Amino acid sequence: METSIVIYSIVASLVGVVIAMAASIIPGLHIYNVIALTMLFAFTAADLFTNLHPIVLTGFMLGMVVGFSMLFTVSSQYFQPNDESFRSIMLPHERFLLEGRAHEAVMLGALGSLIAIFIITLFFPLIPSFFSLARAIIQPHGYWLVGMVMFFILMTEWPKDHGVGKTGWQKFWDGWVQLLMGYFTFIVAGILGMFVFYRTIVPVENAFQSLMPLFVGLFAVPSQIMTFITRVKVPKQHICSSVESAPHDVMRGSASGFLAGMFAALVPGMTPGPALLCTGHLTVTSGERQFLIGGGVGRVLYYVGALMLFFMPGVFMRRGGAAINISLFFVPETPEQFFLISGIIALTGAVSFLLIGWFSKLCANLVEKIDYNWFSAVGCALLIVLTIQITHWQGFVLLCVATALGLVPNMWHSRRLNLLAVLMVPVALNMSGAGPAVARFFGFY
Amino acid sequence: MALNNQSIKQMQITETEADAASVADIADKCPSCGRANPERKKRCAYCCTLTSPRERITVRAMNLSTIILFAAAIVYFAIAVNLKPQYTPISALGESMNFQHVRVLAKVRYLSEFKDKYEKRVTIQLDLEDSKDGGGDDYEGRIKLKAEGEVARELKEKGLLPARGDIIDVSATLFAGKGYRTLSLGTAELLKVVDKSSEFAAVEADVKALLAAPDNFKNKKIKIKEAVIKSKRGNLIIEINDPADAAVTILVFGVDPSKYKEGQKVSVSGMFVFYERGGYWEIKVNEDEPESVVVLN
Repeated sequence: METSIVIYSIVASLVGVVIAMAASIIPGLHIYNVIALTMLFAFTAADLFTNLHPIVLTGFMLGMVVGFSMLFTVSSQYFQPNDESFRSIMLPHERFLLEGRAHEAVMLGALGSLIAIFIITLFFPLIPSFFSLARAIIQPHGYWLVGMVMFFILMTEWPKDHGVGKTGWQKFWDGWVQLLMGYFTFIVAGILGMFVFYRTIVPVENAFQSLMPLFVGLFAVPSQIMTFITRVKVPKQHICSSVESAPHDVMRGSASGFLAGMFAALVPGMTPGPALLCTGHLTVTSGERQFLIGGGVGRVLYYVGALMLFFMPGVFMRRGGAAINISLFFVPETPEQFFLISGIIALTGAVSFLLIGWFSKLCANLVEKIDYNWFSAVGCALLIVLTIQITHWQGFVLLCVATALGLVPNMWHSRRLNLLAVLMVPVALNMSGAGPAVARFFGFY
Repeated sequence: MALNNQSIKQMQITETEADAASVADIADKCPSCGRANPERKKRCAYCCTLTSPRERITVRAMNLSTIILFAAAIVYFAIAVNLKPQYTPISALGESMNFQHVRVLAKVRYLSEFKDKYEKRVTIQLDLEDSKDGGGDDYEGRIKLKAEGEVARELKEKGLLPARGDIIDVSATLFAGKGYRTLSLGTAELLKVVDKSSEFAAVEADVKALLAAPDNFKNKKIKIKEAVIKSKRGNLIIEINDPADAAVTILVFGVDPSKYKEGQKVSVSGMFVFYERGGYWEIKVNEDEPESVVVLN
């Protein structure tokens, strides 16, 4: 491979990391949205990219994905606090924020991300045949694996605020309403997913971003709205120079995250959230630190590890939004390209990790000086504008429907994980071959 | 028994010393939440984290570990630059490799361009043969490489098209079944000319020089920098003359005369051959090749 291409790719990937960091400051803004915007720009201004080798643009996108997968949790950590009413379902990172330990939570997640980058760059290239084998084994069983995960999610939904009502019936209702709302969310999200998979209203030229309004509506906008309407006083944050982490925390968290990341990377329709739920039980993960480390490992393995498999000779597996977008203009073919990609992941992973501490300090300062609601408002507005820009008014309609559904778990304190039925249900049904029949039943096909 | 008690006491003393030493390491502020810990307790009274440095990993240590990643990145980049390509011989491309991405080092035997029946989609087809052994007439040693649509357009626009006889390095997808084998080029940049052919390099000459010593140019690729179209004959032939002398003429075979006008100045590239049935010398051109006939005025 020509040295100039390698140098251009390195520079492009580092630019990608910087853009990912800038995008990460807006909570809720996903890098796939930024990638979609980049793709639209690349298509409309194709002449600008005529003399650019496709692998340079690939390096740029890879830098964005690596940077984002490591940095985006920082702004979520600082700018999406929940009030006491969420105590029963509060995730560790929210608890850390309210205790003034957000920086420690960020660094624990970063430790997990760093471990994942080590696994991806130092371990993955040694075992390409394992991935070919794993794919061959998993492919015919994907539908029931996803089905079992869905079953597990439904089975483990539990009442959280039971017994607050005055009368027996009120207590009964309080106990059941979260369960029912959880199941309601799951079913409606599944139907919405089937609708978009089979009869999307997004214009055909932007149909490759059909899922964008759904994810923005189900997860990002409701989070921003809830952050906006819940008034929380965020305490002064302490910038620690060390994190509490015993070796068994690192080992157990990494094991859980590794299994979750690999599961999500290899099984279509799976994401790290539900995968972590399962593997957390499998590895008997307990405690906040293990959860945060596991989350970091799983997230990076899912985003970056799965993307690396796209470039691995003999595997060429297209999983995740980034791989799908890159495959529109680049076909990975040679071992040199794979080594270049591995190098870019190692480099951007190291740079992103070094940026995390600095970025976290910046966010800790910002959250003290600026009302975090401003970030929520800007994030919310930006997401809506982006969605309309990319998917037109049809996408906005989908976004509104998805937002209404996305607010349900926030209002009734059921699990937000149920919303992932939007992806898991259609993918599992399609893999099993029952998708068209179910879509026909609902009149979508 | 006394000895045992003594050793137990000794162990207790050692543990107490160790505790005292570890307590001394503990700061008067919780390293996690920053709140005061005047009694230097092992666990923070507010956030319950362990405060002893032995239970913690420093951010500095984590930062230092990235050196390994930087080193790995340098090694990978070096491999990417220096890795010698793994070429697959054309004769080895078979049905068992169907849909695989393969990399081939081959010689271009022939190059053609055509459009689909709706005249919209351009396809460039290259006949390739093994660069080392040569394909000869052996089917196994030859294969076709197709570049379609956008890829074909990019090849032309970026000037990446090879010429006959060039040695090319190409990475493409193999489509192989019973009785057919084709390579499909996915991206224009995956085709590179590694060695320009001298075999098919054109020799510059003018009409007068060609006809004065035809045997010197026989069966060679020649390029006439300037000539004038004298007449058009049938569907495939034009007659050109030397710009200095209209009486010295030669026929150019393989051109569509309707594209040109009499009196136009042109440059012509093609094979200089003797047409035995007609008993005269002519220039055989292939209009699919760039610069076969170029209008100058």
